[in-house]
Formats: sequence, C-alpha cells, structure tokens
Amino acid sequence: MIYEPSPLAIGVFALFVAVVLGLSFYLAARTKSAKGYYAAHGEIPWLVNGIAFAGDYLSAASFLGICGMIAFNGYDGFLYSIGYLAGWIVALLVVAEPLKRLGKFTFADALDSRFHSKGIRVAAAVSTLVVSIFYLIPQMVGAGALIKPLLGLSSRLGVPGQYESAMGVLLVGVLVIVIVVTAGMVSTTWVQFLKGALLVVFCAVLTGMILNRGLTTQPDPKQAPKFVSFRREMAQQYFEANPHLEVLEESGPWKGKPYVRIRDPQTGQISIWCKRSNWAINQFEKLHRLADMDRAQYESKGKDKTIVNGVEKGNGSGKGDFHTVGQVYRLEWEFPGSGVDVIDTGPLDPVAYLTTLQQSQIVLWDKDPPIVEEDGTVTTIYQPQVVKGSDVLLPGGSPTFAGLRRGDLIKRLDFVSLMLALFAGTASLPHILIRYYTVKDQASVRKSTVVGIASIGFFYVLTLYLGLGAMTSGALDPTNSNMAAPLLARTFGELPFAVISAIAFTTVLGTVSGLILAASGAVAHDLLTSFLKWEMTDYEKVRAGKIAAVAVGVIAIALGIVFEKFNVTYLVGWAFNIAASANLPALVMLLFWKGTTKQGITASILVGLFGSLAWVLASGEAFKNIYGLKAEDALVPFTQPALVTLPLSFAVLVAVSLLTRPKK
Amino acid sequence: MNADLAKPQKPANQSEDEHPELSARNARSGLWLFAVYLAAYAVFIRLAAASPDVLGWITPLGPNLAIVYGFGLIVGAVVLALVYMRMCRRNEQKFRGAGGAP
Repeated sequence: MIYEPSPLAIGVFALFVAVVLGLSFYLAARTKSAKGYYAAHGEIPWLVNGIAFAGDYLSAASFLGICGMIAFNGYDGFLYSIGYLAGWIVALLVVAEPLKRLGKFTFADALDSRFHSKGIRVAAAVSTLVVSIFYLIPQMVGAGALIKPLLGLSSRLGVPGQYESAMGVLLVGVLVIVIVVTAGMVSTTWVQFLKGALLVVFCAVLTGMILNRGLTTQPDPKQAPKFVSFRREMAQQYFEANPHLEVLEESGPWKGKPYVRIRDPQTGQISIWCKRSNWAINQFEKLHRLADMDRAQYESKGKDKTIVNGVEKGNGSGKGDFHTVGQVYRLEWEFPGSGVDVIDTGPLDPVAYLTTLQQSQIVLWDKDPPIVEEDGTVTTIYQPQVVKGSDVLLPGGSPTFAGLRRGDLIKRLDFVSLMLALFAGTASLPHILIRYYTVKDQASVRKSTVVGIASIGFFYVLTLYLGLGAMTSGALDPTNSNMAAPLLARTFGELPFAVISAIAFTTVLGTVSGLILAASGAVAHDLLTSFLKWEMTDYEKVRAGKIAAVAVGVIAIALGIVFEKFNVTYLVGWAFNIAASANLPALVMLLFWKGTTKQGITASILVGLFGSLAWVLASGEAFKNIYGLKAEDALVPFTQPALVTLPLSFAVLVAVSLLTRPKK
Repeated sequence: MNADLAKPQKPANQSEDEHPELSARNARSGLWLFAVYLAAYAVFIRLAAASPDVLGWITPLGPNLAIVYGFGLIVGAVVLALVYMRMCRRNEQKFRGAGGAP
C-alpha cells in the first residue's frame, strides 16, 4: 500500500530519536572503561534492569510480528506470545543466577569459568555472533516496515516505493550504531528502560481504546477511510449495477485457477473474483453463480507499471491503491445462536470481547501464490475468507500451523519444535544473557528477572487484544502483516498512531542496540582478548568493541534489506531455534552435570549451532523464500530444527564428555 | 594484557545469598517450580499439536480453553516467579537461622 506521511508522526518520531540520542551522548561520559562499556559497571538498579529486560525482549517481532500474525491468522500468533513468555521461566529458575555467579561480561565467561579453554571461548563467541545476526534481521525488517507509513518517503521525498523499506533499515542501522558506539551498555540499558516502560503503558492504553470501541460490522469511515467492505453481498450488487460486464476466458496461467476475471467494457478495468466451493459455470448465462463469489484484491506488476484492483497504482486522478480490510462479518451478540445480528456492541469488558468475537464471523485475508504470465507480468491475489470466530480463536488457523487441524504429522512436529525453541531459546539469547551482568549480585538478578517477567507477561496478554482489534478495525493493509499494530492505532487518531509508531521504532532501536552490543562483546572480549590474546589497554578494548559494533551494524543493514518480505515473527523463530540448540545444552550441563568437559561443551555448541543453521537453510521456507525454489524439494522434512538439534546438542555433549573425561 | 578481562572473577561486592549452600538451596527450589511449569506447558503443546479441537471447549468463564489455558500459562509464569522469590527469601531466613550467615 501507499502510505501518506503524517507530520505529527514525524514530529513525535523526531522527538523520541532526539531523546534517545541525547541520552546516549550524555551517558557517554560515564563509559570509558571496558566494564562500563560492556556491563554498565554492574551498577544498574534491579527495577530499571527488570524493565530494561522487557525493553530488550519486546522486540519488533513481539510488537509488530505477533500483532500482525494475530490480525491475519488469529490464535496462532498468540502461540508465539505464550512460548516467548514461557521461556522466561527457564531463564529465571534455571539459568539466571548461576550465570551471574560464574560470568563477568559475556555468556562465554560463564561457560569458560571452570575450564579456561580457547575452544569454548571461540565456539561461544561464534554462537553469539550468529544468533545475534539472525535476531538482528527481523528487527531491521520491522524497522523497514515501520518507516513506510511513518515518514511516507515515497510520496514526500520521491523515494521509489521499493526502496522505502531499505531507507528505514538504513536509518535504524545508522542510529543504532551511533547509540552503541557512543555509550555502550549504560545508554543501551536506559534506552531499553524507557522503551520497555513506554511500550507496555501505551499498549495498555490502546487495549483500553479497543475494548471501549467494542466490535462492529461496519467500521467507521472516519477511523478507516480506505476501508471497503468485501462482504459477499457485494457481488450481486456489483453485477446488477454493471449489466454489460465481460467474463474473460480462462487461458494461459489462469486456466484451472479458482478465479474469475471480469472486465468492465466502459472503463477497461479488470476485477478478480474468487470461486467458492459451490460455484458452477452456467453456459446459458454469462453471469455465473454470483452469490458464490468473493471479490479479491490484486496487484499486477508489469514491466512498465503496476496495476492495483484494475487501476494504475499511485496517488492522484485515475490511479488507485489497495483498500484496507479487516471486519466482523456477522455479529450475534445479544442473542447468540438466534441468527439475530447486531451492527455494533458498544464497549466490552476483556472477557466479553473474546466471547463475543468467538460467537461472530470474521473476514480474514489470504495471500495466494503469484500467477506469472507469458509477458512476465506477476499478479498477486489477496482473497477474503469468512471464518467463524470460534475457529479464529483456536490453534491451526494460519498457513504455518494449518496441519495441526488436519492431523498432519510433519506439521505437528514442526509446531512442537517451534514451541520447544521458544521455551528453550529465551534463556540462550546473547542480548538477554549479557543483561545479567549489569546488576550487582544474584539477588538483583532474581528481582530484575521477576520484574521483567511481570511486565513482559502483561504485554503478551495485551497482544491478543491488539491483534484481534486490528483484525476487526477495517484498517489492515492486506499486503503487509507487520503494519497491523500501527495502522490499528491510526484508527484512534493521528496522535496514538504517532506515539505507537515512535515507540515501535524505539523498540527496534533498543533491541538492535542490545544485540549489536552482545555481538561486539563476543568479538572484542571473547575473540580478540581471550582467544587471540591481543594485548590491549582498557581504552583499546572499548575501541575494538566499537569497531566490531560498526561492522555488525553494517551486516545487519545489508541482511535487513535482503530479507524484507519475511514476516518478522517467523525470522525470530529461527533465531530462537539456533540459540536454543547452540547455547542451552552447554549452559545447563555445565551447571548440573559434573562430568561435563571442555571438549564436550565446545562440541555441543558447534553441533547445535551449525546443525540448526544448516537445518534452517535446508528447510522448505528457505527454499521458497530465499532461493526461489519449490518448498517440496527441501532437504529436511520440517522447518523448525530445535526438536532434532536441541537433543542432538545434549547428546553430543554427553558423548564427547564421556570420551574425553580425565583419567583418574 | 588486562588480566581483569581474561579471567572471570567473582564480583567484588558479593552479597550473602551467594553463599554456595544458599545458592544450591535456591537452585533446588527453582528446579521444582520449573518442573511444575514444564508439565503445564507440555500438556498445552500436546493438546495444541494433537487435539486442537479440545482447546475449542467453551469454559464456564466464557472464552474457550485455548484462551483460558494460554492466559493461564502467562499469568502462571508471573505467579511462579513470585513464589520463587518467596521461597528464596525463606531459604535465606532458614540459612541465617542455621548460622550460615557470614
């Protein structure tokens, strides 16, 4: 979609960025030493650190990705919320305090505390780098998605549409590099604190607004001006009003496809309709079973121009764009089961909101595989589906998890593997692990983790309402799930949109800062100082960390541009898989099995890291979205590796430790 | 080279609950609570993966079991975290009472 820039949003965004940068420069004076740069001198108060945990953890994936996934697919997005939060129990009850006791600046410190092994150092550092970079990609993609409606670069500065996301990625990358290079962990922590607190508070306010609005079958045109109802009744009305429509022949790549293309001879515009199950061609009448068709939205990208819904894409006379979508189709509220519909419920309490939605019917939108014509024109079709609310609020509604309801064993294994990765991955994420070193002792670690769990848990409860609110707001962009939350905020006015967008942008800044800092620590502290034994003064160590931060930032910018089209939640799932497989077995076995050897730890990290990485790159999703090949040709049966690579990493650690145990 | 960076050391300002015996007691408490949560999480995953229809059961609260169980896992994590804090405090009191304080 084309987004109009909002001066208010730009103003609020500029204010947020100015505060963040100001804070960084102010705090820069306090971080001259390596301990200050990497661990904020271990002096951060536990309450601040706890909220900063939320700031670190509630990334673009949590805010943009989960809300988008719930808005488009219902409960399946909420499964991520559950898994992400559950992972904190592993962090609090198993990993946090021993890690603080054993380490100093990085995760490698803790792993290597008993053995002083170069192998462990380098394996842990490489693992930190890979996981950080995989986690950085979705943050950058989220930044690119956000910048479009926020700054409207396309319409304001004439930046071509395809470069808008890249501009967003570049802007975030440069800002984050400045933040990290100026003040390190001190500024990163305070940025996280501010962002975490603002995110939770404003999402709570937004949820209050959603509940106060209630549910409606007719979104207010003032709140969603680009909304058009794609209710099934449209078909009959459309054809009655246009009796001379021409049904195009199903030829070429359109043959056998579930679409009917209809041309208006007066305007030359082509509309696309989806055949439904009881659709049938009536040879004697050109008009088909109209009541059994739904009008779709489409985009045809040719060599010279792009057509959207029959007209050239763009602003101005004779041009057009996608309509926003997302509505309740039928609302049986006061008398469920009676068939009596209402239009508007008015304000609802949190439980009534869910039960009412459960008894309703919702219009959800799917993106179909593109159709490529002989002249190279690529048509992507977005089609509406009327779904029962009770199905929306059950697992298995999204394409990702659809196999759960069909009883597909491979899809079930994929799902279990993802949920295992989310559970085990949180306690293995490098930017979370380094936060245990910013407070003074174990009690502070415990208290700050509990504060983190409370604030993060509260936020994840809100994600369900934010996602469902976006689903029924009439403001969804059918082409971009990552924009659901900011566009939902826009239905309540420009100010909520401006504030939520600016917070989301700061969210990306904060998480990316933490990740870059973790990666730079791995390079400068673990690789250069501890592994390569470079002789460096304290000042030189900080400088090496800053150079590493710039390098990692540049890599993140490049990858953020390459992976632009992925849903950010999905990408984060991969990062969790890799983190869980590479880091958790080594950490847990070091803490709980005396037979662990340094060779066992090193082998476990490397097998977990490269095993999960290879699995991800050989999966159907990678085949389809990265290499442009058929998903069926993938080399592994399912996409999420943790179910295989996590136990494998444990097994390798035990086997190698047994083989290399010291002789008595 | 700065030896301070090369070898991990214990923080200078060690607090008393970092005594190894107290840490071990807290770790045991943590593992018990972890086992409880892991069981609840595993049952949820089992239901979602193998019997998603069961999660469609409408609970007396109004929303279906999927919503109630999902919220329960999130709120339950917060409750367990608070219980763990309380257990650690009790461990510390017992430890002091047994003359374990330095």
